[in-house]
Amino acid sequence: MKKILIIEDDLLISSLVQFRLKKDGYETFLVKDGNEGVAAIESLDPDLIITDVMMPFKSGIEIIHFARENKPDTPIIVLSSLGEEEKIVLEAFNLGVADFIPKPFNPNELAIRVKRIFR
Amino acid sequence: MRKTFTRISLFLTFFLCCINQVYSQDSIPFTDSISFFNFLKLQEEVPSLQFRYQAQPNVLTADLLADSTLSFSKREDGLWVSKAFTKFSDWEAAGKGLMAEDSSLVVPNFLIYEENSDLLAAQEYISNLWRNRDIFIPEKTPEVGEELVLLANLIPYEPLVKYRFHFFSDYKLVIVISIITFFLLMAIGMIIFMLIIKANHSRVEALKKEYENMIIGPISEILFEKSLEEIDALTEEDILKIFPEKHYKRKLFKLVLIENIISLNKKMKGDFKDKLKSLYKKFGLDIISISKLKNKRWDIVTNGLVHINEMDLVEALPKVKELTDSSNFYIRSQAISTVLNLSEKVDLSKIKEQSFPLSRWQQMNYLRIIKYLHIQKSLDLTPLFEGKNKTVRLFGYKLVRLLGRIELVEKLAEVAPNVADEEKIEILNTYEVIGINTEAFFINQCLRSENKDLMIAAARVSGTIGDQASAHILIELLDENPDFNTRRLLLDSLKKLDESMYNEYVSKNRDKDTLRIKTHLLDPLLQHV
Repeated sequence: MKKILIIEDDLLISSLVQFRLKKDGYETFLVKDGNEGVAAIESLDPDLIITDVMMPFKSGIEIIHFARENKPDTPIIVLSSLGEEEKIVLEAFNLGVADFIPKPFNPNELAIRVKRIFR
Repeated sequence: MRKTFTRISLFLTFFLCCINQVYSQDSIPFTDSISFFNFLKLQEEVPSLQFRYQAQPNVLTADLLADSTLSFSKREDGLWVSKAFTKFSDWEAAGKGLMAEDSSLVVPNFLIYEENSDLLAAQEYISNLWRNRDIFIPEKTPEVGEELVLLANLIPYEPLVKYRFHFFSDYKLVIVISIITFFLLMAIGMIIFMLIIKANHSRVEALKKEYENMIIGPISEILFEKSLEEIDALTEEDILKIFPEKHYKRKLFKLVLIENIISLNKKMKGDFKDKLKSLYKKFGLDIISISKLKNKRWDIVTNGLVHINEMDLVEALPKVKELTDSSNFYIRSQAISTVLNLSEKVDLSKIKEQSFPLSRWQQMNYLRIIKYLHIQKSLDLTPLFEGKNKTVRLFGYKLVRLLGRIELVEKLAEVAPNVADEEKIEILNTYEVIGINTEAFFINQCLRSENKDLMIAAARVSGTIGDQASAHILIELLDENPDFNTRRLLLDSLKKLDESMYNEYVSKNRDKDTLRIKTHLLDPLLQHV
């Protein structure tokens, strides 16, 4: 079973995403801030990381940096508001994220993109 | 409040009366010369007061004059005075036989601070000492004999009640202690109040968290497992199967539901939004949101308006429209935003009817909504040109420019000559941005205006949408020798409008300022400076 780590400080969103991905048969793990995210990447060794950008303690960009250094093959999906600066999104892409989903989003669309990455 | 004040006033009046009564009991212990001497007998000594005798010369015999105890001496006024005694008993003993002879010829005499004084002055001096509490009135003490028990029987029994109000007689101390007690009680009260509030707040927060956890699962399940039709068909019984009745009926639970559904609605898109809106109504949350519009607190009303706006509660539109001209800035701003969002057409009539001026923030907010909506809904801006207040009309002219509504230029041209100068400037800016060159006559009129701001605005736009007549007016204005900045603007517009006329003017006028402006305008680096 594929392991997906969801790093998101909004409990509602993360729970909804978790519910949707569980329906597709993935094993999901929720963490609510950057520090927990970094620890979970090391301990869980997930097959996919879904992360927000603006979070407490460590931003999504810092998490991507960490993941690229320690787990270079793990794909990352960035889930973030459209209002956030374009340069942050570009930086995320430059760091090699697999996909970017702007909020507001459709969880079904996210599930399709996850499926495509694993395919 | 008034009752409490009356009670406090009555208490203070009563309290002051009591104090007054306590003081009025202590009166001066002598009223005439006899009681005065009796008092002195008891007192024995009074600070800075000395006693002596004053005698007429014919009273004194040779024996008296030779008496060393009295030591009479003659004063400057011819009267004889004895030596001064500090103790009253000494004075009395020394003159025992003397006073009996003839009281009019020998009288008591006093020295107050070594100054000669009569009986009245001495009485006044002692009264002052007594009033200032510098001396205390001596009390008669029973003579102590050998038979103490018999002596005790002579003193009547007196209960110790006379000291009952002794503490209260010191009113300053009472006031200080009362104030300290009051503040102490207030502090304790406030601490208790804060603790209660904090405990209550913590309890509500914990309950909210619990409800949130209770809500997330079922909401996710409904959103992913049920179609919109199935959600629409949900009954009260079905809902009570999803959420336990004891929680579902609680107000706080419904508030948490509102917060969560609105938060999800903001972050979701597609059919999830429709499902959330349907759920909002199924849970009866729309009634709570609409009822908030009747609240007296502006923040709750605004909150209700935000909910109505977010969840597209079109049925609340008539009530929302009633709030569009509210005296509260936040209520009317949010009400207009909601009307703009929910109306079938972009309903600008409510903005037109605004009696309050539109702030820049409001204009920006409405523009954002109108910009988004005018693509999908029909938008008629002309009512704004007839708006009640100037800011509404100015906003209308701005909208023509910002939305690029060229077809409204004709309407603008109709109103332009009859509006205030500030509005004319806004219309000129609109003409310039849209690039309308058919309104040169209006521009030329504005160029000749006595209002400098309007003239400058017209000069600026004449460079791009003026005509030949504008160029001539610009030269006329330059000949009036305006200040440096205006001169530079006029020359810049003239250069843009007619380069040959500009060159001719510059070649004729070779003053220092004109040459500086010419150099400036020719420098490509300073083009936009």
